[in-house]
Amino acid sequence: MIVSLVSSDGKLYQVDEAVARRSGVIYTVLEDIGNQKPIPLLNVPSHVLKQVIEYCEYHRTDPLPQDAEWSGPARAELVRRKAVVSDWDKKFIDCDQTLLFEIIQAASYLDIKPLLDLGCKTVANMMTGKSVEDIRALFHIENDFTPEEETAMQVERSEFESLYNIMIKSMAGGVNAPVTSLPIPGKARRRLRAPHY
Amino acid sequence: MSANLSRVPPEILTQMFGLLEGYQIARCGAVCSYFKRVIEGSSGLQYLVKLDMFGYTDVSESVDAAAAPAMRLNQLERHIDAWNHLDWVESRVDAPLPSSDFGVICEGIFATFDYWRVYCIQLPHLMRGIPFREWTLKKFSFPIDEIEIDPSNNLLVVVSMAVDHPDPAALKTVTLHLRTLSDNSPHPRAISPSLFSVRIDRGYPMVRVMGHLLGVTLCFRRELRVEIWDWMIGEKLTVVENMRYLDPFRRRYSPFEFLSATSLVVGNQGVLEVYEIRVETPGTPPVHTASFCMPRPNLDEYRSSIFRNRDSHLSHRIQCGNLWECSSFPVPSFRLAEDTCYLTIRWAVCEGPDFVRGLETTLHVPLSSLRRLLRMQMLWKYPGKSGRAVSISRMALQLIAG
Repeated sequence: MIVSLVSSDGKLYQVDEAVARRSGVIYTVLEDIGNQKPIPLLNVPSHVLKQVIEYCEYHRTDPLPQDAEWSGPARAELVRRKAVVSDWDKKFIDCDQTLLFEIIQAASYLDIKPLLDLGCKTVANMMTGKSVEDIRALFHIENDFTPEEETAMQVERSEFESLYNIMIKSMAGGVNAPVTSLPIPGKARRRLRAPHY
Repeated sequence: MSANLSRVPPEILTQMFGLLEGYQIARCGAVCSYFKRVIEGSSGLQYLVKLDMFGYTDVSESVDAAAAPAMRLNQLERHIDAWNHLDWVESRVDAPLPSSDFGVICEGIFATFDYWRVYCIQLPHLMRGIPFREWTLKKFSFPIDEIEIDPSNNLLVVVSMAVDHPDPAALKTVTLHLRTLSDNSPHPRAISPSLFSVRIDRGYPMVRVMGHLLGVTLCFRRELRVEIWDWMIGEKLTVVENMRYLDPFRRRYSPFEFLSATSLVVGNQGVLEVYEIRVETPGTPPVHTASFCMPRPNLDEYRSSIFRNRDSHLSHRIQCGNLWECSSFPVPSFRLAEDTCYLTIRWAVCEGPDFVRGLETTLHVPLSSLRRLLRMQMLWKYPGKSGRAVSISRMALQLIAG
């Protein structure tokens, strides 16, 4: 079966139902209304929708994520643990920032969780190990703090930073790099998990 | 739809930041006011920042535990607050205790022993619904000199020493028995009911257990060493050697403690040394990962307190002026306190080479602080120069202990 999707700038895309159902939103729409009419996606412009469809085409056979598995902050941990990003995904997400953020927002809007995770992870990897100034430069963000706020934060942050700035230099691999996990205090907690180094 | 990160919706940003380490989240909070608001508005992110800032690791495996970040944050804050304002709660357990001055508290079980029996008490906990229970293990076929328990494995390690010779300086045979804590039968998960027998010439073997690892101190010819065994398969994994034997109080303080399933902290002549154990390759020496010089106790306080107690046997030595020329060796020794997770370091400042008597002061260092220091130390360590001791000033220690 073919599903018709309309991007925000009015372009019509025809995709397989299995592909379209990767999106939680379209899944719900198909369940509730069926696919007699083209589905308008008001927040997704055509160049982004094209990319999203490409992703869904490639991943059309992946198992759909279970709800329980994909909810709550436990999910962040899950994403962190799922360290391996496939080569295709890597190549797919390796685009310019503007498109990356548009894809992330589209994934959020269309409720495509693996794509959203892939995007978030990519951005998180870009941030890891960067100083405040680096992050501002990287994402073209303006510093909108007043000097007073700046000083107050500096004091708050100084201890924290001094602890870590050397470690950050040694951490090159981003989120997926092996994290120096610390020993767990107390015998009661010891048996829960042996820390890995 | 916008393309700048500073216009991405908060819920997506929260998810992004959630993938970062705590310190990096804190940094992102300083990038712009929008990020700051997002981070301050999410208790999950605040939790990650706080956790990292205080050197903790969340080891909860269950989804439930991670599902309520606000609750976790609240718990963490209360925990940190409790640490900042240490306040002892006295509670009383009405239980007949034997005269033995030694006991072990581990995971809510208090165990103490005399020569032939081990007394166990399950400490009651109203909030967790744990009732008071006590039992006595009898019928040991050997005298008990030291015990260690690990309730999570139902393990009781009994050290038994047999003196072969009337001369106290002669060799003693030490045997480690592995029993169950519940009913004193040979432990089912251990291959053999006794781990090993060895002859030593002084001191008391001190035992610590962590998971399948068992550490024991053995002293032979004034040289102390810590042997690490796998008690389940009965195999010696590694040995920390060349420690100086100092036991001025003849009290049984352990000079080592497990920090985790792969690391060990050892006190050796005023230096805390951290070793990593390579469990997967038995026989290889432990890797020295860090050293901390601990601040020595203030000897001035020592003098004045001794002058106040002229009747004590110490005052005699002071009047003889021994202290002025004594060399002092601090002896750190540890015991991990259950549920509080701090390291107690006792200092023995010994007078002269005989180590007759000394001052004993204790230093309580929360383990989280030590772990933070360890992390810093690991960072500072230059490649190829392992074992460079970083001197921690007294002030810095107060800082981290506070």
